[in-house]
Amino acid sequence: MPTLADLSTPCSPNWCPGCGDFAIWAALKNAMVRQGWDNTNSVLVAGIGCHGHIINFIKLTSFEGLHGRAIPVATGIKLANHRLNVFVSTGDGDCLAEGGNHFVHACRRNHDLTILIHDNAIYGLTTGQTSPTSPHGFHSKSTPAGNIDEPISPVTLAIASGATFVARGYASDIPKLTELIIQANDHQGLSVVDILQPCVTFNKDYTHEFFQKNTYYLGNNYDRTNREAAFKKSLEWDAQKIALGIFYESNKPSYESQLPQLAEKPLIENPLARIEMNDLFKHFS
Amino acid sequence: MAEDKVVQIGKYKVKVIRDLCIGAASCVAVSPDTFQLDSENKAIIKETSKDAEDNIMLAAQSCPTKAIVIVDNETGEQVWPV
Amino acid sequence: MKTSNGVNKQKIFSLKIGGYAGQGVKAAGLMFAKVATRSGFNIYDYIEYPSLIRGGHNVIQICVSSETVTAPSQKTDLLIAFNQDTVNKHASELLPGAGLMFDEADKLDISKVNKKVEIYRVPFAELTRESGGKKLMGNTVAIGATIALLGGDLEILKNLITDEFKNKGAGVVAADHKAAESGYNYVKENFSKNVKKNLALQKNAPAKMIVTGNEAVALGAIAAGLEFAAIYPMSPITNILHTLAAYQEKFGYIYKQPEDEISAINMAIGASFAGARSMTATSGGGFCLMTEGFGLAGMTETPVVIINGMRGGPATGLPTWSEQGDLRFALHAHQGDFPRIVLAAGDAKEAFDLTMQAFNLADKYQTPVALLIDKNICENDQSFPFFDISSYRIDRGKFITKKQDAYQRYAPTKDGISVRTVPGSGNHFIANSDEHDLIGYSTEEISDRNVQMEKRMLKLKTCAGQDMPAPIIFGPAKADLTIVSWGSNKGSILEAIKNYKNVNFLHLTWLSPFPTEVVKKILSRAKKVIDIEANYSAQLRGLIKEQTGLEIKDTLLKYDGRPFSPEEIREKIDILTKVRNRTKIRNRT
Repeated sequence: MPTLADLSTPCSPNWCPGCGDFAIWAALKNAMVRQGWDNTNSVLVAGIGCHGHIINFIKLTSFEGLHGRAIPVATGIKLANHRLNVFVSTGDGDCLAEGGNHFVHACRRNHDLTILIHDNAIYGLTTGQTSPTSPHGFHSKSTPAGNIDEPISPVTLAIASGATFVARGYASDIPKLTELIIQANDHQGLSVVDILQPCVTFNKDYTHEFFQKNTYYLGNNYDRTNREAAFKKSLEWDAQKIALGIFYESNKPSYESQLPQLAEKPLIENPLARIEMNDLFKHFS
Repeated sequence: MAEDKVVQIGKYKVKVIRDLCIGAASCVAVSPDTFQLDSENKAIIKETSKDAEDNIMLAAQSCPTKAIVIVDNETGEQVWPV
Repeated sequence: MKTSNGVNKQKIFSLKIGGYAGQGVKAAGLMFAKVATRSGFNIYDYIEYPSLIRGGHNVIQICVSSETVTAPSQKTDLLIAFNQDTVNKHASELLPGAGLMFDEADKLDISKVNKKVEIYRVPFAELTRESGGKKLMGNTVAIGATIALLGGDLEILKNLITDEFKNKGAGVVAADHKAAESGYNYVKENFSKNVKKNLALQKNAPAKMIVTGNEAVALGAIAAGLEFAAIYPMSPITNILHTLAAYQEKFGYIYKQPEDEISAINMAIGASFAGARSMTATSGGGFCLMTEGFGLAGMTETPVVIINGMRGGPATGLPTWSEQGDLRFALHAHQGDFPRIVLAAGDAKEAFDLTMQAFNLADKYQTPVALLIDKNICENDQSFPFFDISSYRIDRGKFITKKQDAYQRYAPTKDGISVRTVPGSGNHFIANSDEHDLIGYSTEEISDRNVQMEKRMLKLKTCAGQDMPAPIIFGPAKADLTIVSWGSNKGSILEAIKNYKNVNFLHLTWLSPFPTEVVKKILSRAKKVIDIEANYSAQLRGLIKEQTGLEIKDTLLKYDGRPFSPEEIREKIDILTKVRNRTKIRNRT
């Protein structure tokens, strides 16, 4: 079981002071300590963006892939060794722009992955361009006259694409986010946590204050198994009407649980040597 | 408004200027032994903290509004924010 | 029936079957090919078809010989025509003494066929109806008739039908047997004096298998201990995924169809990073999408095997035709320098062997290995003695799965290769697409950058020294003319030079690293050299000039999607060795 100290690395975070990534990093570490996730049972795949630097700040075996391509890498890892807890740290640009096609298909296939979207509605690492979750009318260096695109709702897209655990969190509520991450990983299937976080440097609209003022947690009376209700709830985005918590959960079997090759043991534990090939060659004679 | 409390940790005197704190929680992230958010999303200092001074400094430096003030006990000099 | 290759002493019988897409031309051809190999012969078949599912002209040519056959032939000894297109397009290939078989009911106009061609009117449709079979069984009747005409053994055909269709139920097998018998008996009764001996049983010939390059690659991957393959469908490599998909549960690996080729290579890299022997396969267009992942595997030092079954480019190009236009692309794809191993197979057997070697090379050098084949290899069948994998050893290279103290994934070493491990081993490391230090933490420091760049690139030098074989020369050591080529031209070149004492052939299968010294030595001593390849810009010639400084003057280039025929190559040889004057080479259709 790792302690927080075990998870520290020689690199200290280089995010801007107040960046939501600090809190997400803390929540993930807290979840690791509480659940005993470490280099013997877990792996982190990260995309490219401010979120991606997280791999330098957690002592957890990681793969930093290419911009937008973390999810297919994570899929390959999960299929090769489905006993691993596989986390994907991705951003709104990384996951929904460059990686949109992969996100949709991973949800549809319901691989047992935990996708954490660092959603700050801006491209931070490239100094402030509009992103797929930036609101209509948003001003940035790439849309100086105001964003004409309509934003994607990651929660809605995830539910529509077939993800079986879809939640939304707010970065700086570290205790609650820690809990969501644990629940997401415990869920057998494609889990998405859209984590709202401010980019303190480039996004002056979605600030800590904005999120603290306008978000609320879904109550116990909310039925997370009702997909239509989850869709409806996911479309709400107004003053004081941004819901947090688990929008949708269904226990449809995960992709990996339906593969006979993985029934007994992970793929990589199969013997490699194919001594007897002759009866296969006979099929070709 | 009550005076912001000063807590002695190692050779540092640490204080959170409550009015400046916006609940970003990056200080909590960097030094969970020292900082925690209260019910009003404001950072408060845990007197039990045994965290290393340079990690507390890192936590202070991670605050977006420079709400964390650190004074060196021996020299009496304010070391953050500079 | 006179054999077609007059010049060549080897007896090769060439059967051609034509029809529109959907008439089961390929299936009929393969059935005939298997009867031939089960009768002890060798075969090579060549399939031409447009990128369509219905309509369009499909033709399969099966060359049969007691010796190995490695190339298509321009002549046709027996043509089975299921439609008028086939007669129009191939009548000119029928020389006096050749045969034409068709169904009278199809009312084909055969006025343009040479009068001395033997005509065999066989009522495919009617015989099929009588045997209670469905329309497609017309092919079985035609093959039954052909087996009779060539003096083949009906029992071999019937056993084959049983093997092929037993999972479709006894009713189908019985109907198919009847169809075969009816075609066979019809020829025995109506053309008894025309019966030949081309397919007479060859006693105690070794058992053979018939594979396309696609199947050979799939079998090679399975033999190499493949664990994960992510392949998006694309002509001409789609049958690699069909073969892999069919046997995954029996051998315990996973074939996954991804949403696109970018996902394919990244899934394969992820699975390999987690310890699974992984591959992807595509054609040129898909490889365009894989180029970012190609370098990611290089940077993170993650083994992965990538098959590129080349077809006519650029863009959609000639999807179901062959070309070798991706050589430069494979050698330079991706931004920046990283060690890439690029191999090229000359036929299905080489594709099988090189696929197995590719997995060992990828693991040993912890880098991507691209194996280039092309449509001719992918989709033409050739017969081989059963592949033998007894000498193949799975070599995972420097690879640990247990915890190791003070583990450093990217520690520089004498040969550039450091010890690889997997997530879940307890060893902390990062496979980082950013430049990285010994553990994998992101770094932009000058020393880290130089150390890691040089370490990665050193692996290519090590590979050249430890694993790169000398290229093969076919034919006499001393020659008036040396042919240099790569890929599927090998079969046609070998066929072409069989009867020349003064022509040899340098066949290249390693393109990165490149066997510079050996090629330089051979070509600088050669009297006259010609580069033969199927692309517009003579890319191998360019590579040879770049690597050795030697410029090959003569070239024989083709970019029309068709394979080089032995005849075409002989004409060029005759010109270059002054046997014939420098007449303009007729443009092959």
